[in-house]
Order: sequence, then structure tokens, then C-alpha cells
Amino acid sequence: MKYFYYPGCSLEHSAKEYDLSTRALMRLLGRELLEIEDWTCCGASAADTASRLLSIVLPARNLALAQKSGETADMLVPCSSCYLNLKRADQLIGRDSQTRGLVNEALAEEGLSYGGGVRVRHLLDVLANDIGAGAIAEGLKQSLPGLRVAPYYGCQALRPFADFDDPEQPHSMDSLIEATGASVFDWSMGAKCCGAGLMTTKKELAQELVADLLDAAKGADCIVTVCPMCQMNLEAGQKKISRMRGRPLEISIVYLPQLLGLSLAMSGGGLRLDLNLALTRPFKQRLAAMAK
Amino acid sequence: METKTGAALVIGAGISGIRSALDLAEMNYRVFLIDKSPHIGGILSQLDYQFPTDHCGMCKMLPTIGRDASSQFCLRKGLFHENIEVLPATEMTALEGEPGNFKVTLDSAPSFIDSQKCIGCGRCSAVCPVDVADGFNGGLSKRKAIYLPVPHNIPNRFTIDIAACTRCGECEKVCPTGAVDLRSEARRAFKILVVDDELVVRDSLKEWLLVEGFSVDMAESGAEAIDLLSSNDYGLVLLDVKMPGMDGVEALQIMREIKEELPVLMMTAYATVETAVQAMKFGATDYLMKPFDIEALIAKVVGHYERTVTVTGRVIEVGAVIMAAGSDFCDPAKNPGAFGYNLPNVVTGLQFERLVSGSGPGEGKLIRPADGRPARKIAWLQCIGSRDLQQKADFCSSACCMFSIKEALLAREKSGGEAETAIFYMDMRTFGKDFQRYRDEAEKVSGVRFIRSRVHTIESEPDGSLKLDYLDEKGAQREEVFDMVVLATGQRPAKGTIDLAQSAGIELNPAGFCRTDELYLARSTREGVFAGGSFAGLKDISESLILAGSASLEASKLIWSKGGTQAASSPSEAAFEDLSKDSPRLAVALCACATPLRGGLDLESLGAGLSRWDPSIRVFQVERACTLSGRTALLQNMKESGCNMLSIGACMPCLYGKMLVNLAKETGLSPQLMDVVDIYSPAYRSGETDPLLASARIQSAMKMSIGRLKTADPTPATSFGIIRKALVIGGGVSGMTAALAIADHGFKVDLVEKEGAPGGLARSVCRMIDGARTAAVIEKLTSDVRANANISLHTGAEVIASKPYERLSFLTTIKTENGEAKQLDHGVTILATGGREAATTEYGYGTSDSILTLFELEARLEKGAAAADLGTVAMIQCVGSREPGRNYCSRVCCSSALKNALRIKKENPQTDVFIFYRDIMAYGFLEAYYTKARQEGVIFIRYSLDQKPAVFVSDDGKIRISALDPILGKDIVVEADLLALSTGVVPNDLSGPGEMFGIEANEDGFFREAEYKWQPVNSNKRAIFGCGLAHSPRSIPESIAMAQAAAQRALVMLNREKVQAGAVVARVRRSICSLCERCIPACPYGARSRSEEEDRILIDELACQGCGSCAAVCPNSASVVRGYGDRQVMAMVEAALE
Amino acid sequence: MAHSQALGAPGHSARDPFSEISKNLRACMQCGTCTGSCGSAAKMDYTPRQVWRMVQSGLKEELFTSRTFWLCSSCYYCTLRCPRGLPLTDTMAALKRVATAEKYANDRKSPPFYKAFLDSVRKYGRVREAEMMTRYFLAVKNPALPLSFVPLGMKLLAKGKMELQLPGVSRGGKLERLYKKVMELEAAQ
Repeated sequence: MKYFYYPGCSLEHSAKEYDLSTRALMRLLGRELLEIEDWTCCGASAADTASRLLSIVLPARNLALAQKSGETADMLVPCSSCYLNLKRADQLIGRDSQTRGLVNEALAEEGLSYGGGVRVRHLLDVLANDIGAGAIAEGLKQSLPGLRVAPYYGCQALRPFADFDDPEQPHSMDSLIEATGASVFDWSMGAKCCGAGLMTTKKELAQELVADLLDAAKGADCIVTVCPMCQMNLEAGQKKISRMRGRPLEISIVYLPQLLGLSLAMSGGGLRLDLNLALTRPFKQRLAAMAK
Repeated sequence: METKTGAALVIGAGISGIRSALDLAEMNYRVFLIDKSPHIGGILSQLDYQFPTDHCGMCKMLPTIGRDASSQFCLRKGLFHENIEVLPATEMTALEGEPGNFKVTLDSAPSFIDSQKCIGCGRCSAVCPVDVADGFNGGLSKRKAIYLPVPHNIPNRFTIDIAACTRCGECEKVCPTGAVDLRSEARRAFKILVVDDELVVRDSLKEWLLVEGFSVDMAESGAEAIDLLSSNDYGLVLLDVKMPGMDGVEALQIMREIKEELPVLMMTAYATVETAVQAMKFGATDYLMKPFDIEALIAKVVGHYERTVTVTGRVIEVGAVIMAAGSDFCDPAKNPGAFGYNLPNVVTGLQFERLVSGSGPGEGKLIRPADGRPARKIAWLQCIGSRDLQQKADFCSSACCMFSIKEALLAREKSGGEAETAIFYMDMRTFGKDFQRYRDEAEKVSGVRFIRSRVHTIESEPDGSLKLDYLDEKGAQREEVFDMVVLATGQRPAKGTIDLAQSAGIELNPAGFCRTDELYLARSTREGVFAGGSFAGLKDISESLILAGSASLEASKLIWSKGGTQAASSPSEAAFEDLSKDSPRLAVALCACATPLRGGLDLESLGAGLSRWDPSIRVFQVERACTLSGRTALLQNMKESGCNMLSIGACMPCLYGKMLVNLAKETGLSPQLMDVVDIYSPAYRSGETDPLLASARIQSAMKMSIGRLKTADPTPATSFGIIRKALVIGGGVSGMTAALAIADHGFKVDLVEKEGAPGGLARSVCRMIDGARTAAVIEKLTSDVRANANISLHTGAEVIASKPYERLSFLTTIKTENGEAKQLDHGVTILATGGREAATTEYGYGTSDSILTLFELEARLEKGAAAADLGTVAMIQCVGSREPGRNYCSRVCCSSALKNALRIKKENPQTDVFIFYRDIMAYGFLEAYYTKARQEGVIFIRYSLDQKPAVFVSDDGKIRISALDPILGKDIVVEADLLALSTGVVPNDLSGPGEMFGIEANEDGFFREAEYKWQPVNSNKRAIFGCGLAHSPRSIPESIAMAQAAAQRALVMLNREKVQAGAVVARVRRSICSLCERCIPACPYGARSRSEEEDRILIDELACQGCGSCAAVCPNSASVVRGYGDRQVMAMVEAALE
Repeated sequence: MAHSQALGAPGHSARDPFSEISKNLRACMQCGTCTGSCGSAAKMDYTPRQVWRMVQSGLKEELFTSRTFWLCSSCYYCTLRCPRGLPLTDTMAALKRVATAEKYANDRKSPPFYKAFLDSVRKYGRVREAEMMTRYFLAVKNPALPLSFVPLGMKLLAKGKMELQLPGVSRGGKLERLYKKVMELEAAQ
């Protein structure tokens, strides 16, 4: 089974380990990733503040590139913001002929065109529905019993396109986590917002939102994420946020493919856990103990 | 009875279907009443309590005139009427022919339980191993696969949920009467061919299908499948799309050539869905997605199997069809996260009703479903699935606001006043009669909290409580914890509506409900097919019944116009011999058929026992009493014995109603002097193992019957002929509609209008909400009235006196246009005296030419003043309404304001329109106009009673309206060129006719109906009906529907030569009556009066319903009820105690 | 009366981007579900519900002197839950767009950040985070601002997850032509 692969800008730099662990996991599970050649930024939440058309053209360029490759496959996207932008562009272009016309006039500058039709899939969707907990359980090499994992979905994987999960009370990660032998930490914050891009421009507000999340995760061993922005917001600044709230809020934050990879006995190195910014000592010790 | 055109089909046996069926049956048409479920009652069978009495009142729908033609017990248990054939588990599959002459095909689902044999003992259910969610209790409890659909039905037959049944056969084994037959053989005979190249798929499918009791063959390629197909008889094929060699689509095409009709289900993975969809064009029946959801797959297969064994093809001929197939509720489980519906202790309104029902899972206690702990703080959330464009529901469900208030009051009552209740709402739509007062009382007297807010988040607390986050009116975030949350789920088209519409050849509206005429709300898009109740969309009980009445009137009119008059004369109206001088000669017939119900009962010894007990009676046996040959044998024996009373011992007494009527016709013996006793099932039901005790019990039941009959009053029920003419007072839209409806049935009508021309208040309304000209409606009605030879229109005339007249009729005096007095005799009266726009002095009305009433604005818009020269128009709603002094909603003002605003925006989009409102009453489909008005840019500003807008007229003639905008939390000012005040509707003075006809007005001056929900057009007087604005504010189409419903009730009386009183009516023993008159106010039907001339208490036997209130208050037993005399009751008690 | 707000025309010109936004919001019935659902509402000077009301009522100046919409984190809860199905999150973005285009100085940090981001994309096709942040810091001209990002930057550098790069000065860039065309097309609309 093949997927087009759109890593997005973050996965090149600050979320390298998300990219590497995703590629490694998919390889292990026998899925081929066709990285879109010459892909460019999806526009994130910035494009829309400058130009509505730009916010559609930027993702459309990547969809057009995928289609041009001649392959037929769904497009796998690990970043929630990229996922939303690509999906939105595909829908608008497919639905509204006026937008389609404008977008293609712009894309013509790049020698490209797009009329819709590439199915955009979030990594979580693919893991939960194409691969499924059954495949993880089948390949299980290293069970993670006693590990309490708080699934964190964030916003844009779920909303506004409620394609593969309940956008208010998501559960698609539950069975995947359980398949690793770990247990799902029961909390109601899985779909709440981490502040996203506000961490740069409205830091005080974003840190409050993150603090609420870390507070609620008290009792879990780690939080699992499916978005580079969520991961970064949750892992950076834990010390400062602990000071702000006057209590220790440090907790390990790992990407979902990293957690699944661990249970399939991929080495921590292949999963690049060394690149994570927030892994607590007890968490590392537990991993080390399990590895023995 | 069997006249071809004298019959109608009613689809759906909920309350509106029952209403229509009874209406038509009372008109002596033959009615087929079908329902796809195994029981009647629809949604109402699940609801115990209804606004405004907070009780059930369904029995009030039963006929009050000629009431012996129908059963006289709780309608939630069952319905028996001699002219109605009830067909449960039956659907219409085709409707052919012409209006007045339809051919209808009915399909009945196989029942697996022989209703003639099932005695409701419940042994089957006790051994059934399957547990499924009980739909009757909203899924709050479990039931078995073999179960009672409604716990209180009569006769209470079990039914099988064949989708859940595993066919283990346990129930078949334990049934004492052999009533259960799962037809496992038939399933085994049903062969299914599975075609797939993958062995795993074939094997697992085979396994599942074998468990379901089917026979299965397998093929691993298309070619093999085709081979098998040509030499075997398959009922169904499951065919894989993607196979090496011949693929599924190719195979399908060849199969189609071999067996054209064979159902084929395609099996497909996600990747080939489009191919599967494509395959449907080549004749595939449906497709299944891999990986298979076993339950869905089995359901589909079973569905196809059922279709092949359904009893098809009963064809009936009817003149008209009424569609009353009801509606469903929006299912929050489809969107569970959104309203916290997957959290414990979040229930739907229906589930709440079941929780507090005595027959529900909580046995009437107010407890939380998840943990059984008392619920002491409960929140109701409005508009779940209504007024929600995201859910494609651009409509208001009309009933939820009121049912939530009722439920909150119920919670208070059930908890002894302890429960705290809060209703979260956006607009509290109290648009119906007396709704506003009910709401105010709930708030002020019972302490129900009304919180204007849409709750956005529900979270579960560790103890199972629910935390609600909401924004209060001032915009502050609030958090509050409740024990339980009730979702007021809105209405949706009933499941299967699309198919039904297709079979009926009618169109649906965009919301999926029946598309109806804009003016005549009961008319569907096909002539001769009418819609009643919520099938036509979004109605509460009262409105459902009004529309049902309108539908039956239309159906009746059609059948009539096609030449189908009523049948000769109803058997129950046959004159029976007066036997009051005869001595009782009683015969007992024991049915000796070979029913398995009979068990070990020894008829010989039973008969001998009875003869010993009372040697005067004659006992004989007949074979199969319920059949035609049985009836012939009965007749023969009765003739030989010369009896004048008959007690039959048989099974299923409720099935004998019609037969007794026929027997009565043939023997001249009143059905009141015949009785049927169940001599078979008591032994089973009580689980009696001792045959001696069982036969003693049966003997005692027979003796009670004998005792009752021998002491019965043999005087036949009285018949009366009324004057078959009608008087309609008020020549507005309602009055004209009612007059036409009656006149079209061939009866004379006097229509009295006080103005010089008919039309009433509608003449002040320029446009309907859809933009149609109201004048056209009035012109058409007026010309129809004038052209109708049966209608005498008296304009400029006034009713000045009325008095009772011969044959229980009236003699009414009117003053004509020329000032002459004219006397009119009539048997029925319809009050359609109308209403008018209320006057006001508020908001500076009268101080400026630019401050108008709503009608004045409309007139100005009609003159074209509208757009061009208007910069800003403002409107204030609820002027003088919904506040002390006139505490009701006038219902039409909001929609009129929306209509006018949209017109202004259409004619000149540049005009700004501001509407100051309290709650926008855009109920039902009017909501779409509200949405549209907002989309067009009309600005809505809410105000509250304690902060009304202030209006100033500036020197430059501009109107300045200042008010608080609660959203911005700021005072705002609007400068308007025109201000329109929605002052509401007040009724015309009813006191004159009220006094003349002895009916009352309510505290607002409107017609007081007998019962708001169940008898909306009846007064407390037998022959007086009310409709239109005299009854309550309503739109023109709503007035027309109500006028038709009122006319329909009146026609039931006019339609008969003789109207028969019930057999059970009260009498006064004059010799011991002390004329204390206590019985007069005690009578709820106004049937009693004192005659000064004769110095005695008179009883209007037609009005008397035999309730016995008079007998209860009478201090010296002078008031007695026939059939329940002291002597008779004592005789039965004695017999029972023998 | 002195404090009262005169409600005017919501704006009828089709070309006015503000009235375009108002058209999208007209069906709003002020139920407040958006505000209740908003994680940032507590920090906003006007709640989302009030913002829609201000747009409907043409209170443009008041709105653009507030910073409400810059606090939207695009979590899409309001869009998801709005019973009218209005594109509320998109509207917040549209307000950001209008504020940027019309140079309302109601927020010092956000417009430079988004600009820096898009400049980086135009130039390289993909965001280079370090370069982009440097651009942003230069634009905001707040000497204290970069300091608050130093600890994170150091961590990322140490892990090799960030490459130091100074903003280039050359004109042109990978997506220059595409950007230009888009701006042309949009201006012609």
C-alpha cells in the first residue's frame, strides 16, 4: 500500500523526530511513502491573514504536484495544520468552480493545475483505520504494561473536518495505545487547544492553555501527540509553566509513531527519542528497563 | 358497508391516524387503519403525561356520539370500532387509480406468532436468551427478542424482533398454545450463494449465515457461480467485486440474464466502492463494505429474506388516503460528542418520559439511569437537532419548549418538589394557546429556572454528575453541575418516509416531511392523498389532531363528491326490541373449537355446573363461535331456545365486538344483552396447574356474566334525530371554510356575518408569508360560498337570540341587514366569530404618522411605499402581549414581522430593518423565514419586559428608538423613518353567542374548548364548535385547517338520520330525587339541567357519556348509570363469590 | 443617552471587505455557543459573540481598535459547534486580513510575525524557522522579545533541530512568481 507523503516544514527541522519515526514505522508496517517532490509550505495559519487566495493556492500547489506524479494514492500528512490546509484546499477547489478557476490561473505560473481528487489523510487516520490496532497488536514485540498514556489530539486533526473521529470526544487513539499494552489515561482534554501559533505572538495566553493541559495530565506517564505544533507547545517551557503554576508539571511528551514503534521493538534510536525535548527521568528509566 | 367508494385508508395509527380513522368511521365510512409497527398509539404509547393537564387524555378522542360503535376504554391499550379494520405490521407498497377510486396494495410483515393463539402468558419471553435495547423505553432497559411491544396493549400479544432472534427455538418449545412458529424450515429452504475468490471470506460468511439458519453454497469464481446458478434455486447472491478472471460486475451481468429478479449484493473493499455503486446500475440490489460489520451484513441479508416471505399483495379499494405516518426524533447518538449524549446520565426527552413513567425502567421514580441515584438537579437543553443548519435542520420542532417545561414540572412533582430544574433555551416558543401562562407559572410558582443560553460543553464528573459550561445572558462564562441532563431532541421525518412517499406518489419538502399545499395544509401534492399530524411536519398533539381533522374532512368530501354516500344505516343504530316487559331468558353458548388454548377444559362439566347453579338458563355448545359457521350455529340455537339474552364462553372477547353487532342485526337483540367471556386463557395466564381450580375460576367468570345480564336494564338505547342543518356564526376565512365544508356534504348552512362583506380580519392582511395575495384567498372563498346552493349567506346580520328547539336542536333569531328578525333552525352551531388587531397607546402610537400598527405597515407596503423612500424601518414585537393584562402570544406577529421585513429587503436591500423582540416565535418551518431574514441583513435586538425600548419622535419627524443591546451590553439608538408596532390579536366579543349557546370564553376572551389537546374544536356543549381566531390567534392556513376540523366534528352529527345515545347513560329516579341539583355542576359534559316546567332534572342523553359523576354526588342514589346499577353490580359480586 | 451607541447601516457596498465579512455572519442569532467554546475568550476584550454583533452592526472602528481576533488560535471549536454553520474561524482570519491590509495598529506582534512567516515561504518555498524568527524580531523592534525565545532556541540548536541562518537580502525567491500572480488575481476580484 502506497501513500503520497507530505511532511511539511516543521518536520524538516524542529519536528525531525516526528518525520523520522513516521517514516520508520510505516516502513516496518510495509507501507510505502512517496514523498512529494519539491513540496512547499502549506501556508499554515499565516497565509490566510495576508490573502485568502494564497491560503488555497499554497496547499493546492502540493496537491497538484502529487497528481502530476502519475501515481494514485491517498496523501498522508502527519502535521495537523498542513492536513487541514491541504484538505480545505481540495474541498474548496472541488466544490467551487470560481475558486478552482482562480487557483488554476495562479498555479499556471508554476506549470501546474489541480481539479480536486487527492484524498488527504491525517497520519492518525491512517494508523487507526488503514493499519488498525490489530496490526500493532499482531506485531507487538515489546508490550508496555503499566504505562499510562494520555492521548492528545489537538484541534486541527479533528476540526473542522470531522472525518475520522468524534471532533468533541475523540477516541481513535485509544485502541492503538491499548494495542501496545499501555493503558489510556482517562482525561477530557484530548481535543482542547494548546494555543498553536499563539505561542509566538500571544505567549501568556498560550502558556495558560498549555498549563491547563499539563495540569490535567497529572497522573499520566506521558502525553502522546499527533502534531508538531502541539508537541512543541507541550514540551517546550514546561519548567517555566511549572513555576507559573507553582507546582511541578513536567511530563514526557512523545509522538504517536514513537510510542507505537517502541511496542514494535524498534530501537529508541530509530525513533529518535533523543531529539524529544521533554522526556522525564522516570520515563527514560522505564524505557531502559523494558528494553532489557 | 362494502361500497367501493365508501372506504378510506389511513396510514399510521398514532394519534393523528386514530383521529382521522375515527372521524371517518363516525361518518360511517369503512376505514383501514394500518401501521408498520406491531401496535397502535405511535409515540403517544410511550408518553404518560401531556401538557397542559400533565396527564394523558387520549380517551377523549373516542366518539361521544354513537359511542357504542367503538370500544370505550383507554386508547393507549387498543382501538376497536365497528367500521375500522386495524392492520398492524402493515405497509402500503403501491397506490394506483384515481381520487375517489384508488387501488392500494398492502404488505404485512410475517408475524411468527399466531395472534389467535397467543394468550400473552409470557413464558416465551422468560426463556429467550437474547437481550437487546428496549426501544419502547428509549433503550434505557433491555428486552428479549420475543417481547410485548407495549406493556399495556389489549390484546397483549407477543411479537418477535426477527433481526435480534437467534432462532434457538426455546420459545417454540415452551409456548403452551403452539402460537410461536419461527419458520426455521422456511429459512433453511432459503439458499444463499456466496461468491468470493478468498477462502477466508467465503468461510466466515458461510459460518455467519448458517448460524442465522440459512442454507449456503459457495463459489470461488464468477464462472463457478454461474454454473451453480443455472441448476439451483437461490434466494440471494453475495458477490465479490474484485475477482481474478471474470470480475463481479461481469458475473452480475450474466446472472441478470439467467435470473432477472434474483437479488444480488455486491461485496467490496473501500478501493472498489465506486465499481460497486456502478454495479447497482447493472441491477445489483445493494452493496456491502469490507471488512464486514457482521450485524449490518446479517441485517441486510435478513431484510432481503423477509422481503421474499412478506405476505404481499392484499389489494383494497378506497376513495381516499390519509397519510399520518408520524415523525421520529433526531438521534443524538449520530453526533454523540456534540451534546454529551455518550456520557452517563444524559438522556433524551423521550427517555426522560420513560424514566418517570410507571411502566418505565425507573417505575416512575426520578432516578439517574446510569447509577439509579435520585436525580435532584436536572437541566433541559433545547434545540437539539432543531434550528441547526449544521444538521440541515432549518426548522423549529414546535413541541420541545412545551414538553421540556412539562417535564421540568413532572420532575418537581415526582421528587416532591425537591428537584431543581433548569431549562436552557434560545427562544422560549410559547406560541400556542395558554402556553405563556403555563411557562410563567412554571417559573414563578414551581421555580423552574429559564436560562437563555445555548450550552456548549458537557463534561462528566467522577460521580456521574454533569458539568455544564455556558455563557449567561450578560456574556459571562458559567459552570454548573447537574445530576442529569435531558436533551430536547427535535423532530425528524419518520424512518421510511422516502419510500412511503414514493409508493404514495407524493412529494416531500426539503426537510423531508410531506410537502403540503400552502393554504390547505392537509393536501399533499397528489389529489386524494391527504396528510395529517406530524407527517406534514413539526406539530404538537393539538395541532396534529387539528390537521388530522382537516385531512379527514378533505377525504370525506372527496369520497362524497365521487358519489360514495354513507352506508345505509349503521347496524348499531338498528332499532332493537324493547324487552323491558319480558322476563329474562338467558342462553349460554360454549365454544367448543379445537383451539390449543382449550387445554384440558371440560366443557361438559362446565355446562353442567352452570345449569345446576341456575336451572333457568339454557347451555349449548357451538363449534368455532368466531367463524361464520359458528355464527350460523349460534343463531340457530338462539332461535330454538327463544332466549333474549346470550352469554358466550370463548377466547379473545375483544375480537367479538363486530360479531355481536352482526348477531344483533340478525336477532334484533341489543348487543348490550350479549356478553363474551374468556373461558380459555385464564387457566394459562394464572399459571394454574390444578385443573380443578382452573375450571372453578372459569365457572366463576361465567356466573358473573350471567348475573350481569340477568339484572341488566333491557330498555334499548334512545335514538334522536336532530335538525340536519348548521349555523355558522362569522363569515371570515374560518366561517366560510366551515360552511363550505358542511355544504359540500349536502347539508344546509346559514352563514351569518356582521359586516357588509365576508372576509373578516384576513381583509386587513395583504399578503401571506409566501408572498401570495390574501385578497385572492378571500375572493375565492366568497365566490364559492355565494355559488353554493346549500349556503345562505346573511351579511350585515347579527345573532340576537337562540333557544333549544325540537329534536335536541336550536332555534336562533338573527337580525338581518334590513333590521328584520329571522328565525333559523339548526342542529349544530359553529362559532367563527373571529378577532381583530389589538389597539395600543404604547411607544408613542398616535403621536406620529410614522408610528404604525403591523397591519398599517402592511397596507403601506402594499401601496408601494415600501422601499424607495425608506432608509430605516424598525419594528417592536409583543406590544401589550405576553405581559399582565394580555398574557398570551398572538402567534402571527413574529411571522408577519419577518414577512414584512423580507418584503422591504427584497424591494430595497438598502433599507435597514431593525426588529426589537422578546422571543422570535418562528415555530415549525417558519424558522426558515427567520434564518432568511437574518441572512438578508435584518438586525434583531432582544429586549426584556423590565427594559422595554423607549421611543421618541424628533422634530425632524424621525423616530428614535433607544434600547439596551444585551449582546454588546450597551445602550443603542436606532433612528427610523417608520416604526411598526406588533400589537397582537384580540378576540371579538364572544359574550353574546356565549350566553345564547351556553358556552364559556377563557380569561382572554377566546372560545374555551372542551379539552385543549384532545378536543380542540369542541365546546363543553354537544353541538357547539369553535374555530379560527375566536379560538386562538393563528395564521390563515391554520385557521382553514381548524375550520375544517370543526366542520368535520359537526358533520358527524348531521350525517345521521338518527343519532343514538350510548347504552351506558345516566338516569334519574324521579320518585326519590330531591332536586338538590348537585348533579348539575358535577356533570363534566353539561348534560344535566333542571326543567322548571316539569320540575325535574333533565338529561341530554346524547351529551351524557355515562361517566357516573352524577351518581357519585347524588345523596340518595336517585342518579343511576345504566349498566352499573346497584342490583346489577351486587349480582356480579355475588356470582363471583359463589 | 450620552453613552449610547448609534447603530448604523451594516454597510451595503459589495466591494468593502468588511461588508463581505458581515454577509457571512448575518445568519448569526447570537446564541453565544462560539464564545462559550472559545479557549481564548477570557483574554479577549470583546467576546466572539460581540465581535459578530459589531460586524453586523457596522461598528468597524471599535472592532479594529480591539485585539480580540488576534487571540484566535484557530481551534475551530466555534465553527464546529455553531448551529448556524457559519465559518467563524475563517471570519477571525478574515478580520486579521482586513486589519493587516488596512494597517490597523491594534496588535504589534501578530502582523509582523505572519509577514515574516510568509516572506520566508516566498523566498525558500518552505519555512526556515530560525530565519523567520529573526525577521520577526527585527520587525517588532522589541529588544526584550527575542530573549524570551532564547532557551527554546538553544535547545533546538543543541538537538540539531534548528539551523542558524540570517535573512537573505536578495530579491526574488522560489515562490515569488506565484505570490505575485495571486496578489494580482486577488486585486482584480
